[in-house]
This record gives sequence, structure tokens and C-alpha cells, in this order.
Amino acid sequence: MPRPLVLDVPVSAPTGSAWAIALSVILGLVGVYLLLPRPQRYPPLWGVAATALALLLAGVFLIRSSGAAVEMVLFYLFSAIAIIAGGLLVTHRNPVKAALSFALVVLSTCGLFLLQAAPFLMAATIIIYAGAIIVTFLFVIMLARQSGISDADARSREPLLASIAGFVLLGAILFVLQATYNTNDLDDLLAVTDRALHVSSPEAMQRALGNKREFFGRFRLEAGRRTAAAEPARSLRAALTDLDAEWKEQNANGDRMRQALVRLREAGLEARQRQGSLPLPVGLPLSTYSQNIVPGPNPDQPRGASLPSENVAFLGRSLFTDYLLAVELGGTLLLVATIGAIAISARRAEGLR
Amino acid sequence: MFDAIPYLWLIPAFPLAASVLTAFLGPRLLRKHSHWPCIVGAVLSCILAFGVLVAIGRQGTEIREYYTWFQAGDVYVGFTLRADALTAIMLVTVTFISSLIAIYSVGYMHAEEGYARFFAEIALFLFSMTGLVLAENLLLLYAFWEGVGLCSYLLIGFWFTKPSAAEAARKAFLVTRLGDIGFLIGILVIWSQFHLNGQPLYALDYKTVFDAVGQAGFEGPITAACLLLFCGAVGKSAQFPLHVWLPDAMEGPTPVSALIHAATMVTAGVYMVARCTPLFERAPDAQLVVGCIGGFTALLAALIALTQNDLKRVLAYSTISQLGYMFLALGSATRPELDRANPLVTMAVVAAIFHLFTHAFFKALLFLAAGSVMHAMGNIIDMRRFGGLRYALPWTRWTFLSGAAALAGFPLLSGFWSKDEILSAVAFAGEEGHPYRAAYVVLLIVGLVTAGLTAFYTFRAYFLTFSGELRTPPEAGHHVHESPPVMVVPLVILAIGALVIGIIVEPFTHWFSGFLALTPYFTPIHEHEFNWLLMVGSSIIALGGIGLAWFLYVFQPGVVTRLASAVPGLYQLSLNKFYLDELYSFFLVQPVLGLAAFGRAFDLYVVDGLVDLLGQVPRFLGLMFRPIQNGLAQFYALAMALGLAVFLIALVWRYGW
Amino acid sequence: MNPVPMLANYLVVGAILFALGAVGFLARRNLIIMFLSAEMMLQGVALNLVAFARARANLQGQAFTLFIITVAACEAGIALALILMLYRSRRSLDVSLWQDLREAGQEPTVDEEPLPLEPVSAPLPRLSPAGLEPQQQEETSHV
Repeated sequence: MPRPLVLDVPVSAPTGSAWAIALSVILGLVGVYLLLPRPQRYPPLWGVAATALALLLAGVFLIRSSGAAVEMVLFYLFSAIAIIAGGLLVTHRNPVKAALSFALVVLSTCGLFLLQAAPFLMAATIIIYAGAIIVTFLFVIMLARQSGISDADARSREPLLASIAGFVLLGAILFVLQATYNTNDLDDLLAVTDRALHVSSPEAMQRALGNKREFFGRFRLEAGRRTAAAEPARSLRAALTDLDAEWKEQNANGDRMRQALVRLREAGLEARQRQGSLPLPVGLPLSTYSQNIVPGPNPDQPRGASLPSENVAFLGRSLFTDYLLAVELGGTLLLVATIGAIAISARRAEGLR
Repeated sequence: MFDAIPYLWLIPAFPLAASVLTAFLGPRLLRKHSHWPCIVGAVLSCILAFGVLVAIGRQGTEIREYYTWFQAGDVYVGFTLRADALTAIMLVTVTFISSLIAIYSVGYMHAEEGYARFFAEIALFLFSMTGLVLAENLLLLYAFWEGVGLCSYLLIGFWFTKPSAAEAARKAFLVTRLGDIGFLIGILVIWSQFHLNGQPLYALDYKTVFDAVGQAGFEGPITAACLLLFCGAVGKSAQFPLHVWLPDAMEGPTPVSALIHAATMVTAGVYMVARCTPLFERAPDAQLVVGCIGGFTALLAALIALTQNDLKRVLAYSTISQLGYMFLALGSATRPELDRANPLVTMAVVAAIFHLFTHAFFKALLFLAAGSVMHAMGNIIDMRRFGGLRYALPWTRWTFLSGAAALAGFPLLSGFWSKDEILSAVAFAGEEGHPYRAAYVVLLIVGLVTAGLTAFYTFRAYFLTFSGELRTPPEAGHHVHESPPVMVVPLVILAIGALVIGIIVEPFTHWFSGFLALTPYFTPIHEHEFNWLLMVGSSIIALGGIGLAWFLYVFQPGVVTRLASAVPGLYQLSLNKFYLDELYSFFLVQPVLGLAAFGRAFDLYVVDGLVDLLGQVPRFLGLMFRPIQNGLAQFYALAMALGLAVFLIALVWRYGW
Repeated sequence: MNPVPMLANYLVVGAILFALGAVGFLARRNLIIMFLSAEMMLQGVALNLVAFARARANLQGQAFTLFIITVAACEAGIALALILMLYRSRRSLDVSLWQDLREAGQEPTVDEEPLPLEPVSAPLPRLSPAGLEPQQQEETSHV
């Protein structure tokens, strides 16, 4: 018996149709537009409501939920905090509060880093960003304080056009993401295949698969879509050809058909796995330092499917072998920036005071 | 013996070379000697013209072709020159008078600014005129026709800084241009509408056309063509209604008036109609029109000349009147039967050309004498301001008297014989069997009346100028002196011609008519006897006119003013040229000026305005887009982001990822 | 669990952060806030990179993110120095004061809407110097 098919994505949730994207983007636009600082403010309730609604829509329709509950909960939490803090940064009148909300953004983003198996980056970002850069910003804000409300804080330059520019950008990116990572159709087909695998007789299998021409047509369409990933598409087509050979009106061999279906399912899973990612060219010599080629404990898993667990060690090794030049240049850049900052502000002595 | 025919082309070439030489070298190099190329060229042409005369008399007509102007298929037009009797007589007249006038001009235009320009233009004129009479085809004729028109414009407007002179030049050019339109249309009609045996003629040279009209298979609108050709003559020869330019043309220097507007250019129309005799003699309706216009013009001009105070104006109207006589003669060249030749035709044409010949002499003489008077009077020509010059300017007086007597038709002088020939031709046309004979009888009476008027006004001018007490205007200076010999000698030569050339050449010897009858298409005329009745009648009329003038201006000067005040209406009518100029101005000139003003306003406001508006569009667009550059860098970044947004929308829409 | 299907979520969050940062940069006039928004855009990008690193199972994304942080730090240093210099010239952090790049002959952009007046808070009470008796005010209320 083949392994039961566990799709870590519930097939029922539609992952971001175009209407959901448009609606949430427009609501977000309206909300941010209303919240941007003006001398005569709109009532903040409207803006807050609009942005909250947009966030909710995005959370429901744009995010795929997987089987791992803890990860999803943490993901939702950190993302929500990051986005809300980001909105506060953009719309708050008081620059100190805005800087502090930026600190919150950084912290949430670090949480997301941690979820993505990048503990070193999390720590580095907190130390450098939240620890040094934001504190420096706060110092400068304090140094450049003006009493009372100032022009700089209370007014916006072209709020409507700016909002439109940003949110149109966002809409385009979201649309492209949806188009790239959408596996709805493939999921349907794989579910159908799985259902067919659970029955025994060839006739029942054929009945479960449905209309032959429609089934093959849809599958071939899926294969054609994945032109970027040549190998999965090829194997998918090969499996389809096999199944086509086995699918006969009379005297269909149950075992051979089952085997063909299993091969089809494997090829489909592989294609779904590789969805949206570009394969490396064959024969490209890659450095081994940045890749974890140690085979994991599970021999079924394809090679290089996970990050190394000793993140810092591997990151250090990769930095000082593959990216050595960049590291050195980065150090030089820091030095030059320090000297530059001192040079720019060193005219304090002669300048106006 | 010397044969001048191979050198035919030199006759126009000499004056042309002289003109070019004077134009380029005159102002800088030759200066006071700028007259030499012109005089030399004119004299050489004159000698060659005499040579051609002799050659024609010996061997007949010659046609020489020199150059192909254009050729397209069967159509051919070339620079072809023809030498026949008519041409030879015209050449001799033109070159002889031109040489004398050129010599006269040396004295008259002395110390004038633009001396070289004057002689260059005179030589150019001589080139055009000789080319005109030598041309073998109508297109070449038309080209030289325009050439003489141009020279007339240049010479009338010689003192172009004077507004009246510039206006007169413009008027002359435009009015003759009106006639030239008809002329050109007539040429085109001949070109395309004349058919020989069903084929269009497509030829313009005299030989082909005149041969064709005589043949049986010919069909074409001859009357229309003749009338259109006559339009050109009306313009160039200052007949009614296009005569208005000639009196104003007196703004030019007096030698110009003598040469162009008396002796040679205005006779181009007469020459052209005479040349086209084979066409005209087959169109009696056109002949009638020609004769009527000629007679009417003669009478009209004579009536106007009665009251003019400007001596040159009197002579100008006299020219118009005498040209009318010539056309009257040409119009009488009718045939009783259209398809049979008739000696009347040759006789009438000979009369016209003979009158042209003698008129050239005495009219040039009169103008040059008037120029001499002007020269002495400090450029004053108003007869009311001077008088009694007979002892102050003796040579001028006697030469003027001979010219005046010839013009008046004093018996036995040249004018008498030529005018008499015309009147007998008209009388002949009024006889039985000729078409429209009644009209010609009326025209005969008109001619006689005009002869009397001619005598009267000519001697009125003479008596007003030379008799009575000596009066000189202040502009004349202290001592009124006779003109220098360089001016007097041509006067004397012309005077001799005016007196005796007529009697020598024609009435008893018939050298003139016999020679002219050698022209192709002219039938030889038989000896005819003198029309004694007409001769005596015209003598009486001429003497009566002279006597009346003597009575009114010498004997009883006060009578004239009483007569003038007795009929003020008629007097004003005559003095103001029958208000024709005012009529033309009102009906023709002002509307055209209005149209021109409208055109100018349209061009200035609408067309220029439109162009300016178009020019404002980029400026306006720039002003519209200017506020984008407001200096705020954040705004620039926003603009970039918006552009990116638009680009992304377009991309995603297009490819639908 | 396969990281690739989850990749899209993180990319969405990164995109949202980026867009918010863009709006803030283009709309706000305070130099500091503008710069902070730019930094937020960088955070969104970093999130993208890290998510891709996990999906591709190599450390290239994380190394690149480290460099991003480095460059952001340098940029922050220089930018703050410049902001301080600008503040010193005009005594204000408003970016709209720097308009001299505009076309010759064009009017400068000025704000027309007046700012709302800040309620003037009552001055904090000041203590009198030690040793002197404070001026007594009339007792107006008896508790």
C-alpha cells in the first residue's frame, strides 16, 4: 500500500483569489490614507477599522494554513504585530512613538526569522537594529526636538498619491505571488488520484478518476504550466503516458494501473513540492560550504531539503569561505562609514552653533 | 555684294551685348562714357538693318533657325528669326530712330544719376524690340513682347524714388498685362483649336499657320483668335479701353517717351496685327472691331488733347490718336469675298505701316523737341508757365514746327501722305460690296473730324509754347539757352525726315508699298490713282484747324477762356480725360486693393495667428508640466514610484502571471 | 513538513512590510520617519531572503541578509549625520524646506492649512528658593 497522501495544505482553503487580493489592498489603502497625519485629522476610527478589516481578509484568504498549528499561531502573531507596528510607524505623529514602533517591527521580524531557522540572524538583527540603530535614531530625535507640533510631523506630502503608489505595488506583488504559488488545481488532481488509489478494481478506479479526456487534459495543462521546472514536468508527462497506456476499456490490469497511478502521484507530489522554484542547472559546480549535503536520517527525503541545525557554525563557515571578499569589503565599508559620519558632523566646531 | 542675311542674329545681339556690358561695367568703369556701348550697338544694328533691307529687296524672304527652344513629340518651338519686307521696314525704323534718340540722350541725361542704368535699359529695349519684329513664331513674339513691357516699366520708373513715377510704371505694366492675357489666350487658341484636315495644328510659327489658314481643309475659330490677339494690341498700343497708361508714362525721361511711347514700342501692336493679316482678312467681324476701336480711340484721344496743359500729355494723347488711325487702317483691310484675295487688304496694311513709319519720325521729333524745351525751362513742361520761346530756342522752334506741321497733315508733308492713304483705304472699305460698309463710312467721317482736331491741338501746343511774349519760369535760371549740339543734331535729322520722307518714299515712286508688298501673303497692289476729293478735303480740314488755332491762341487769346467758361461741362470732361481713370479706379482698382488688404489681413491674423498658436502649444505644454519640478525630492521619488506602479500594472495585465 | 508551500506566506508578509515602508517614505515629511520607513523596507527584503534561504535549504539567503544589515548600519550612520547637518541649517526636520532644486521662476510650495494650535499647558508650578517664604495666595477652597 502506498503511503497515505498527506497534503500539508487543506485543499478546501482557496489561497488568495484575485478578488481577495484586490479587496484587502483597497481596504488597506483606504485605511492608511485615512490614518496619515494631517493638520485636521479624520476620525481615527474609520482608518483603524479599514486597516483591521484589510488585515483580517489578508490573514484569512492570503495565508495558507498548514498542519503545524504551533508554527501557524506563531506566524500569525509575529506577522500581525509586525504589520500593525509598521502601520503605526507610518502614521503616528509623534516621532518618538514612531521610532519605538519601528523597534517593535524589528522584534517581530526577528521572531519570523527564528521561525525560518535563522537564529543567528535573529540575534544579530536585534543587537544591531533594535539595539544600536534605533537607539541612535532616538538620540537624534531628542537632539532635534521642536516644541509643539511641527510641520514635519503633522503634515503629509501627497497622502493619496503615496498610498496609491505603495498599495498598487503591493497589489502587483501579491498577484504575482498568488499566480506563482497557487497549487489548487494540482491539489484537486492529486486528491482525485489518491481517492482512486484506495479502491481495488480497475473499473472502480476508472470511475473514481472520472472522465478520461478531462482528467488527462487537466493533468497535461498542469504539466505544461510547470515549464520552468523541466524535470518534474517531464516525469509528470512520462507518468501520464504510462497511465494512458494502462487505461483500457476492457481487460485493464488492476496492478499495472495501480502502479501507474502511484507513479503519477509521486510525480505530482514532486511537482507540487518544486512549485515556484527554479531548478539549478545540471552540472553547475556549487560550493559545498554553504550547503548541507550531509544526508539526513531519513533516506526517503531528497538531499539538501533542510537547513543544517548548527546554524551559526555553518553560517560562519560559509561566510568565511564563499563570501570572504564580501565580508572584508563589508568591514571596510563600516570603517569608511564611521570616518564619513565623523567627517560630516565634525564641522560643529566652526559652524553655526 | 554684301549679304546681311547670315548676320541676322547680330541685329538683336549687338544691343544685348551693349546692355550687358553697360550694366556690368557702366557704374564703375565707364561712368560718364556709359553711352558708348549703347550707341555703338544701336548704330551697328542700324547698319545691319539697312543691309537686310537691301538683301530682302534682292532675294526675297528668308527664314533662319538658330536654336531649339523646346520640342515635345510633334510640337516644336524654336528661336527662329524671319527676315521679310515687313520686318525689314520695322527694323530700319526702330534702329534708326533708336540711334538718334540714344545720341540725343547723351545730352539730355547728362550728369544724371543712373546714367549707365539708363543706357543699359535702352539697349535692352532695343534688343527686345528687334527680337520682336524678327521673331518667326508667336511664342517668341510674346516673349519679346513681355521684354519690351519690362523695359518700358524700367524706363518709366527710371526715377523710381519719385512716387508718381513708380506708380506710373506699375500702372503701365499692369494695364498692358491685362491685354497680354488676351494675347496669350489667343496664342493658345491658335495652338490648339486650329485644325487642318482634322488634325490640330500645334504650331505657332507664321509659315505653318498662315499656310494652313489659306487651305481648304482648315477649320478653326479665326474670329475669336483674332479678337484675342487684338487684345494684346489694345494693351500694348494704348487703345481704348486700355489707353490709360500712356499719358501717365510721361513720368519717364523724355527720350524714353520719344523712343518707347511714340516711335517704337507702342507700334508693336500695329506690327503684330499687320503680321497676322492672313488671319484678320478672313475675319471681317474682327476687322470691324479693330476699325471701330481704332476710330473711337482716335476721336477720344483728340478730344482729350484739346484741353491739356502739359505739353507731353498733349503729345501722348496725340500718339494714342495716331495709333487709332493705324488700327483704323488695319481694320479696313476687308475682303468682299472671303476666299478671294483683294488688293484692298494690301493697300490698307500698307497705309497703316506707312503711317507708322512717318509717325515714328515726326512724333519722335516732337517729343525730343519738347524735351529740349524742358531742358531749357528747368524741367517745367506746363505750358501755362512759359511762352514765347521762339527767339530763345530757335532750332527747337523750327524743328518743332516741322514736326507739328507733319502731324497736322499740312499738305505735301509726310504726315499728309500717310494720313491720306489711311483715309482712302477707309473710303475704299466703305464702298459697295465690302462687309459692314456703312460702318466704314461712319469711320471715314470720324477720321476726317479727328484730322481737324489733330491739327488744332497740335498747333495750339505750338502757339502756346513758342508764340507771344517771352515768359520763363523761375526754375529756368537766368539765361534760357538752346540745347547743345548733341541734342540739336538728331532734331534736325528727324525734322528733315518728317518733312520729306513721305513724299520721297511713297506717293509717286511707290517704293514703300512696292517693297512692302513683297511680304508673303500680301497680294501685289495695282497702281491706283489718287483720291483727289479726299486729298483736297483733308488739306482744307488741316489748314482750317491750323487757322483756328492761330486765331484762338495768337490773334485773340481771350476768346478761349470765354469759350471754356461757356461750356464748362464739356471743358471739364475733356480736361479730366472723360473721368476714365476715376471710373477704372472705382470699379476695378479699389476692389482689387480691398481684396489685397483683405488678403494681407488674412495672412497676418489668420495664417500667422495659426502658426503662432501652434508655436504657443509647446510653450503652453511646458507651462503645464512645469510645476512637477517643484524642488521637493520626495515628490520626485513619489513620481518615480507612481511610474513604477503604472508599469507594473501594465506588465501584469499583459502577461497575466 | 515541506517549507516550499509555506514560502508564500512569508513572502506576503515581506511584501506588506515593503509596501508600508514605501508609503511612509513617500508620504511623511519628517526626515527621521522617512529614514525609518526606508529601514522598514529593508526589513521586508530581509524577511524575503531568509524565507527563500529556508525554502532552498541553503545559507545563501542568510549570508546576504547579514550584508544587508551591515550596509543598513553604515547607511544609518551617514544618514543621521547628514540629518543633523540639515537640522542645524534650518532648525527643522521638515524635508519640504529644501526646495531649491525647483525651476527658476517657480513659486515655492508652501503649506496653506494652518496647524491646530497646541493647547498651552499650564506652566508647571515652580518651587520658591529654599529659605524664603512663598507668597501666600488666598485660600480659595476648604477641603
